Amino acid sequence: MRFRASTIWLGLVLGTVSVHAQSLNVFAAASLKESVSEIARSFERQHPTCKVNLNFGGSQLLVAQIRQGAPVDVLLTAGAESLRSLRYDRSSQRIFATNHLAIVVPIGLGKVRSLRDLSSGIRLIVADRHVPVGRYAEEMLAKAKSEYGQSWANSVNSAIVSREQDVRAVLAKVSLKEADAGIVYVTDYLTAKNKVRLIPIPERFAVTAMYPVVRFGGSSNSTLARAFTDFLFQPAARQALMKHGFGSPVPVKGNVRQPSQSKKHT
Amino acid sequence: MSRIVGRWWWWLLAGLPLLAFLAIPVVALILKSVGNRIATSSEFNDAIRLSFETSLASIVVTVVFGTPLAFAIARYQFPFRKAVNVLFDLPIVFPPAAAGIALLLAFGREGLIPTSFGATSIAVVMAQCFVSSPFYLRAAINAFSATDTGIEECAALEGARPLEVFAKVVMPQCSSQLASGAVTSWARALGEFGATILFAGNLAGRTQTMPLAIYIGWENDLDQAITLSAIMLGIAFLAILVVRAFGKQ
Repeated sequence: MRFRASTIWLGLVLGTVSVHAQSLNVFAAASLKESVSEIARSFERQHPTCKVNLNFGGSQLLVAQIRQGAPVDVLLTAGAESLRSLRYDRSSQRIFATNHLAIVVPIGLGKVRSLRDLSSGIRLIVADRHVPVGRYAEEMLAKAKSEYGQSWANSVNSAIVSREQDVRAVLAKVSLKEADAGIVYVTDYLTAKNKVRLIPIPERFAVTAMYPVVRFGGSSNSTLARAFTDFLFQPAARQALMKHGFGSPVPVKGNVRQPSQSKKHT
Repeated sequence: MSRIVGRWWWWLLAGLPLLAFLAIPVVALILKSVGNRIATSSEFNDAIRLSFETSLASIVVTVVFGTPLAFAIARYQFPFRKAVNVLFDLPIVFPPAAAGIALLLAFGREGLIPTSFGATSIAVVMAQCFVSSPFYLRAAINAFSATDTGIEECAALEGARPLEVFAKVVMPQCSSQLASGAVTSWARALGEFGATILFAGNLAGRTQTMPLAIYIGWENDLDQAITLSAIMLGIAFLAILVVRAFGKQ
C-alpha cells in the first residue's frame, strides 16, 4: 500500500516537474557502481529524453528501501537470495553478470599470502552476513573448512574484526590498512589496484556470484524499464561489464539456481 | 499581556506543521513497538550491554579530563585559548561520519599516531568521546565562568589549599550544571553512529552498539530495529528529564 502511494506521489512530482523527460529509477548493488554508471550514461545517450536515477548500496539495503516504499523501476542485486522478500515481475528476472570472490590485502602489508594465512592472528574484514558478498564469503570459507579443518575455521572466525554494511566499505578499510585482509569481489579489487593486492582463492573453493536484474510491474514506465534491462545484454553494456571484470551472464529466466541451494545438493 | 501579542493558539497553529512533524515519528515508533515481540537474540543483548559499557566509559573519560580542561578555559588566559575554545565546538557541528574518517586518519593503523585500537571496543569509546565530550565541556565552561570568585578568595584567605578551594567551594556551586552536562554528553555518546561505524567497524559483541545494530538490523529484521529504537527513545526521554531536573536546582 505504502509502496503504491509513494509511487503515485513520485509520479505526480515527476509529472509536473518534467513533462517531456522520462526518468527511470535504477537501484544497483554497491559492486556495480562503476559499470552500471557507465551503462546508464550510454543508455541515456540512446534515449535522450530519459534520465536514469541511480541508487547504489548493499543489495540488502536496496531491498529494504524498496520494501519501505522507495520508488524503483529496475533492481540489480549481487544475488537472487536478496530478492526473496520482494514482490516483483518474476518473468523479468535474468542473470546479467557473474562475479568472483577475492581476498585483498593492503600493498605493503605482507602478512597474508594465501587463503590459509587468514587464520594466523590477523585482522580480517568481511561484509555482514545479510550482504550478498558476506554470504558468499561464508560459503567459500565453509568449503575451505572441509579441507583446512575446524580449528582453521575457528581461527578465521576470531580473526574477523568487522562485518561491514557493503562490499565497498570492506575495500575502503583494507585500502586504509585498517585490516590485514578483506574478502570482496574481484571487480572491487580492480577499482583499487593501486592500494590493494589480490590473493587468489583456490579454484576448488570458488563461489560464483550471480547478479540478477528484475523489473517492477507497478512502475509507470515499464517500457523504459524493459528497454533498460534489454540494454544490459547489448554489446555496449556487455563491454562495460567486462571492462570492470564481470563475467558473462547465464541467460536463465525465472528461478535461478541460488548458491545456498547448491550446498544442499552436494 | 497575552492580548498584546495575540492568543496562544494563533502561535501554536502557525507552528503546527513543525510540531506535528516532530511528534508523529515518535508516536509511530511508540505505536509500532507496543506489542512488538521482544527479541532476545544474543546480538540484541550484546548491543545493549556494549552500548551502556562504552557510553559510561566515555563519559568517565570525558569528566576526568574534561573538568580540568574546562576549568582552565573558563578561568585563565593562555596562548591559543581561543583556538582551543573553538575546537570544542567543532565536533558539535562536524558530521559524525567525517569525524570517523578523521579518527581513522589520526589513530588508524596507518594514522598520524598509529594505533591498533580500530575495530575494538576502545575505538567505540574514542568515537563516542570525540563527538560527545564537547557537550560536557561547554556546560562545564559555562558553570565555571559563572561561579562567585569572592567566596573562593575568602576560602583562600582562611588558608584553604587550591585543590581544597576547587573541591569544596567551586564544585558544589557547579555540580548540578556539570551533572546535566554529563548526562547530555552521555546521551549523545549512546546515540553515536557515524564515527563508530567508520572508525570502530561493526562486530556483534565488540563494536556493534545499539545504533549500529539498528542500522545493520533494520534491513533484515525490522521488528528488532523497532524495539531497539524504542529503547533508545525511552533513554532519551529519561535523559531529558534528568537534565531538566538538574536545571531546576
